[in-house]
Amino acid sequence: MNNPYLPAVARITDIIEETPDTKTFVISSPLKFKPGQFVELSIFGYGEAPISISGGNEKSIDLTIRAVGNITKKIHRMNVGDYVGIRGPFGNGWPVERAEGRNLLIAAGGIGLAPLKPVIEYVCNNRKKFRNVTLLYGARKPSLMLFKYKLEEWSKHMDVLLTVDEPEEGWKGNVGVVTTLCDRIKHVSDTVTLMCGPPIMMKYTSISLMELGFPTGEMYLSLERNMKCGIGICGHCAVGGLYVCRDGPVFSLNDALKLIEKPHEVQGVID
Amino acid sequence: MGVKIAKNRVNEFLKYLKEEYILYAPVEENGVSKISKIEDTSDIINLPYRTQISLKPIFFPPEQKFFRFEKKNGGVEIEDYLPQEGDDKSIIFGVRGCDVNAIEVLDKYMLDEFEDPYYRKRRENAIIIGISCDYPKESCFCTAFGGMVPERYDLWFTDIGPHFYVDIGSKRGEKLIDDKFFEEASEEDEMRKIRRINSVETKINRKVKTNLHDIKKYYHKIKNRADDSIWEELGRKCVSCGKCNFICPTCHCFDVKDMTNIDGSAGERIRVWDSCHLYDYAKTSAENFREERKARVRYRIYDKFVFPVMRYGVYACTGCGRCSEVCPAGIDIHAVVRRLIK
Amino acid sequence: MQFLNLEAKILEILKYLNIKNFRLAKEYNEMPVDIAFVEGTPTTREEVLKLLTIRKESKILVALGTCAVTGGVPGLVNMMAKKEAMEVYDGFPPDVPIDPKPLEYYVNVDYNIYGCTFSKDELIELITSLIIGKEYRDKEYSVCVECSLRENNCLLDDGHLCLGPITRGGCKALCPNNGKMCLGCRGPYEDANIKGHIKILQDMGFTKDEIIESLSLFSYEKFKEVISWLKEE
Repeated sequence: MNNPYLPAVARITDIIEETPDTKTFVISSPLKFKPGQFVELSIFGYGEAPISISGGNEKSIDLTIRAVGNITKKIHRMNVGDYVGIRGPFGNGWPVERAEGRNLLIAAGGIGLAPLKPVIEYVCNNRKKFRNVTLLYGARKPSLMLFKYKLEEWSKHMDVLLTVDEPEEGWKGNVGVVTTLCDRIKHVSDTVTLMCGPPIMMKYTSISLMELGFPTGEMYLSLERNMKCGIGICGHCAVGGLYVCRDGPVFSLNDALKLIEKPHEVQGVID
Repeated sequence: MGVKIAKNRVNEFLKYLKEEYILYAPVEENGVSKISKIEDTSDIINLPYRTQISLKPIFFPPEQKFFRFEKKNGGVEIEDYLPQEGDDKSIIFGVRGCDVNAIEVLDKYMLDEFEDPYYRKRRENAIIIGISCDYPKESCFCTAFGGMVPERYDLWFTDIGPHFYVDIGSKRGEKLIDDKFFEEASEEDEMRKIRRINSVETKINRKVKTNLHDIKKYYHKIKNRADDSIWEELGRKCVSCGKCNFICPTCHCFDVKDMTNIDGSAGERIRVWDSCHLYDYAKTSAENFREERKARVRYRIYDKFVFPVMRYGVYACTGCGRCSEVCPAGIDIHAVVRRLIK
Repeated sequence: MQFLNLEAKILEILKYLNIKNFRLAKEYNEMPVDIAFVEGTPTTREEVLKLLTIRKESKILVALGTCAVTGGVPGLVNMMAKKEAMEVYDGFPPDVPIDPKPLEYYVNVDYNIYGCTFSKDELIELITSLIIGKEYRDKEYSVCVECSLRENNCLLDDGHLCLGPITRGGCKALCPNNGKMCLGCRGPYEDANIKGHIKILQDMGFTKDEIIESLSLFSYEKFKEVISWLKEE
């Protein structure tokens, strides 16, 4: 009998230091996944945590992890060759296909860039399928920006708009929250928006984009909840009767607004 | 036409079943009535109504081990406990309608697109022999949902005097009907059974006076009260003890954790029942999405009368009244629902 | 004050668990140490100084048991006016120059192990967490949770003044399992609805004084606030 609670044992094959508190772990787990899906990462003896997949190939998946909780702090102390467990992939993923032949806006805040990275890479590899593409990315400080070494390549394929809350020496770009960049996006109508970041960032970005006339029916956001089982049984990630692990983590803004328990991420977006 | 069994033959019938099946039936342990594995049929108690503990722990125990792991030879070895889960055939005797309906609800959650294999193994070989209640408990309100005889069962017993009338609900049930114990029931017996069930249901109804049969209508009504002041009021009363969740035959939330030996080299992953009333329930490393108690109280009521209707088209409440019975703050789910549909 | 730096009882537990590489423990009573377990609370100035030294010479300080966490039973003296105490002792009480306070009043405490007596399982849980570097968190749910998971008969239903609903879990409902009501030795958890529970107890027929008495037993700060509110009500 297939047991969805049983993790597959995998190894850490590489570790990339992204920022002082974030590392990307390359895990020897040949999973077929859709951009936006997540896995349950097991550290044996410590437990499990849901982690978005930030990249991968036929041999491995990448997990970009900020050290904030029990599991995530532990994996930061682990080394190449150490063993972890993987269940998944779970969740619906980003509706990338909806953006084909149309404009695409990718809006990320902080660690929220990680689940969007597979989308960006898909766009780079399939650039002709999309019209205008913009990446909007905000971080607290320049030193906390993820995937800086990729930005140059990405900017060959799309408009990359960056901002930080607090500048550091050498930063010549924009200072301010993500919303301060919204009016620099060159395409508005017929744009599919994919958004991930802290609740407050998603909320105000949604409001700004709506005011600028971006179609709300085509705005999608990825919610973060306490997904324990990943398969819609344990109940922890439920929001308004939907399971973020199974029905999400990606929801359209319109659907999220209709939920009975309005998620924090969209509270106050329409009142 | 159904069959009947003389009351004084029931014990023999159960002994006969016990030869081939693992038998579960109502017993009392430490002053608490529940349905447990029977070693000796004389331990079975005769209750006129449901047990204090539902069927849930039989299929979904409060604590369940998923697997064992051991760090060995530079790797990790995993031993799945699933194969150890017995798939023996079992018979659960003396179950009430509310509990049978509740198990059907639990099936929807556990055996949906993703299956819970630990639950499935225990559930799929279980034969249900139910029985009509003689009279209701104080907190019972099953008639609000349609009455005390469920739609699906294997056999269903109803007291008709010196005999139990036995309805056959499935092929599996039919196979249990042995001439040694059962005899053909007459039309009169059947009428007696119907009269009996009606009279008990009337008794319950007289007290309950709530009818939630029109699911769509009441689901909408309750859904529209999301911002009502009732949640504030209940939030002040509720002490978040979680008793309603644990006792509920359809509550299925669980937490998953790793227990290890002292140096972490070996351990087990277990699941433990969890409660949506608890502060930590919807907490992530960044935020607590149901920090306010009133939001947690509302969530549970909605997860009985609104959310399962959206997902599966059924209520996740069957009117057993256990949560009202155990709530130290006196929150009565039936009274709450009555206020919500007013 | 009883200073516990891996005292025999704990060593016993560790033996039972068959620990071979317990790298945190240093030699008996040798300072500095990695972890100091402090049981009880200072009641003399000398003991306070001793506590300050322990803090300086240990990486992790654990308040072990209710007296260390809250001032506990010795803390009860705070409820009694000095004058009354003098009447009892017919003069100055023998050598009680300072009021018992929680350890946290004097030093930073890294971990609290609640309970009177504290739970061995929780102590092992903490030690394990420290060894393997796992997060150890105070239980954020009540004794009722652990009691209901054991399918016990509810003592409130039987008319007992049980503090289960507002008391921090982790003891695995030791007292209710044995038919004894929860006295609240582990204190209230952060989310405890204390006013809600007082209402329940009042509806059960308990008087204000009875409720105040039961909440006073272990000197938890959070209860003290509620007690003064209850007195005014």
